[in-house]
Amino acid sequence: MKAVLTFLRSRRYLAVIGFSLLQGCSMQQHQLNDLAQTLDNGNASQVLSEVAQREYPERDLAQYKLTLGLLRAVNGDFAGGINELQAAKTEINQLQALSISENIGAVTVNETLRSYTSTASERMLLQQLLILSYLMEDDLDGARVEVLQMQELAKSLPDSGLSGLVSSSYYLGGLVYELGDETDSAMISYRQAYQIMKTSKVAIPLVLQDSLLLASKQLGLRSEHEKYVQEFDHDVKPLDRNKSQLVLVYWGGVVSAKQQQYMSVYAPSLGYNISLALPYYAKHYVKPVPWRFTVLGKTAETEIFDDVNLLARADLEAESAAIYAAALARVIIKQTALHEVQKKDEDGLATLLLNITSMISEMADVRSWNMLPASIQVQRLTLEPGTYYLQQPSLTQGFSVTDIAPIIPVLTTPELVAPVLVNATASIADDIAESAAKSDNGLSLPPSNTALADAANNSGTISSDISNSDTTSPDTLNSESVAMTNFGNVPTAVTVGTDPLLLTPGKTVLLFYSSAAKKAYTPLSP
Amino acid sequence: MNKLLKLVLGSVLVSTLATGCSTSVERVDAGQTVDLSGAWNDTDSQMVAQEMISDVLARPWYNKFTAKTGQAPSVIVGTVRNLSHEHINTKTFVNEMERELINSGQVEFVASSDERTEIREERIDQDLNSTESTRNAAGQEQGADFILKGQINTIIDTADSEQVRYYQVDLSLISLADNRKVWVGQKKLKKLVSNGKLRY
Repeated sequence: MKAVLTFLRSRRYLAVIGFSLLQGCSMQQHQLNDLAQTLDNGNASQVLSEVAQREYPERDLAQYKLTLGLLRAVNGDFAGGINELQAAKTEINQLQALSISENIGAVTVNETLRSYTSTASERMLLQQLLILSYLMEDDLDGARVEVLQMQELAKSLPDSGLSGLVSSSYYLGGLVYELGDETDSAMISYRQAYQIMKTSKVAIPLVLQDSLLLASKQLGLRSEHEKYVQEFDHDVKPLDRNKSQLVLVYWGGVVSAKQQQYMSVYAPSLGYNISLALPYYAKHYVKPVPWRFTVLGKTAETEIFDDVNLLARADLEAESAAIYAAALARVIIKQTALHEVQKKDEDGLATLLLNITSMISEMADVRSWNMLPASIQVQRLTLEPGTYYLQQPSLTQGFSVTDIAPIIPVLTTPELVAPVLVNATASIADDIAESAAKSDNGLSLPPSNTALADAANNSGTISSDISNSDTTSPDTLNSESVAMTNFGNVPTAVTVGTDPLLLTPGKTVLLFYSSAAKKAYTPLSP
Repeated sequence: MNKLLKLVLGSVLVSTLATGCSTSVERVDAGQTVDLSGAWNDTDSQMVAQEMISDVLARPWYNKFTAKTGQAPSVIVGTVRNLSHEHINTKTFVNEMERELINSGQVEFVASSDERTEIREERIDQDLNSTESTRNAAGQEQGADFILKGQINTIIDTADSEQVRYYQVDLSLISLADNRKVWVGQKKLKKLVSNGKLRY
């Protein structure tokens, strides 16, 4: 009892509380990492609602805003995403000055006491997401501002290594200039994307090859054009102004999360080995593969521009020397303090306390923008002008661009649904969901038929919302739709409104597909 | 030893608590110049609008037009494109120019494209719902003689924590009758922004 009172009087418990709080921060990061990994199942809306309710320490404001902005954008709320991402950018810019208190904290306690300032690649990807979001909001000038800011940002990138070398951001920059009829500026951006890929020793995607060939031809850069023709072994025809272009930007998968490891090093000043907590990325990860989709019944593939996992590892490598030095200094300070306490600590309580707090507080900074995609891919297609529809991925088929209005089957006569039939449907849907989840196109929302049928069976109100929709005869269903709704003679198929995508001659329209939401988006007024 | 221990524990306390700051608000005159980040702000918008409108109204095109037609020119402000490195709300800039033009009393001012659409809808509504004596007929609008268009460009030069921000605002007044540019104005702003290298 006496020992407890002495402990409380000494106010050493304050340190214990402080260190417990730090542990809380670490736990929060682990929870965020777990949430991020669930994005692979396409449940971005659920993750958004969970993240939006979370509390976060002030020093993690930038990380929180980045996460929230990304989630809002991939869920289709591009205006909301822009607000969060701009707030993140403002915070990051303000944190560029060196903090005295945070550095003392990082060297004496741990790295998580620093405010989160993001890595070089994250900042370039922040610019990319803003460019995409402004384009989706049909604000070309806004997107152009972000391209200019990205180019300024690029000047501050590390001189060596791959950190911050995000080729897709430059490609999108080129696209923005192209949309504004600034071919000369577009050419510069395409060249930068090309240079990055050369530095990264990545094969130049056909999409970029064609953009370089076309822009150099349009600008009359004969020798440069000839160089590209030689290198790429093909040439391009001038753009047909009577055709339309569709540019698909694909954000697939989820980047891996940073982890913590302990490294044992010999400290000459102490005369023994000490253990350093350092962040690391797992060596092995799933390499990106081209994403398949369908355009007018034909299979198309995106081309890989950026392996974000590779960029994240390059970022960490660029920062590793500073992280290692701070960790080493920190542990030496802690161990020296421990030695000094030990010399004068009669009952051993202070030593024990300091030892425990020192161990608990020693943790690596594993914070990152962990909801970024694992890869960024692009494809560019030339289409005849006309009206097209986006068929979002479903349980049975992947994303497709079609010229036939999609027919989404729902049940309109719930009272006739026999329970046995509903169960049969559910089991079919679950099988499909299981197999579909293995591919990126698989949609983890079996609600389409199963949930509707369940809801219909329970409440009998399923058709009320849809009764006002245009009903279509079952005869108009295509074969795939019929297969999806093969419930006998119970349901009636209805067309649920899908905004058509109007492609006019000479027009270029951007499509943004996020595997985290399993949905494609087009600009507000394509 | 005690010093080192105090340093460790003290830094924990300081680092944990240092992030908390209170918010303070101070009212300032709307005309007062307050530069915080170095970005384009309300002062730049007001200053450029005032100077450029003063310039446009003092140039020969004005006297030529009034001498030829015997009436004040009708002007409309078109789009001002933001081609700068910053997200600039060009609407406030356009509003500033509209205010300066109207208050000069030297030109007639025509409602913008968006405003005209709204007014036309109101007129259609009047046609259906207003008495004949208060109804305003369609087809009586005053057409503009000139349109004012422009763009804002920037050049940014950065070294370490110092930055030079150069703004160039280009405006041109175009005759709607024959597409002639009757006036081209330019206003340049240069700002040296020094960011702190340290923070608490």
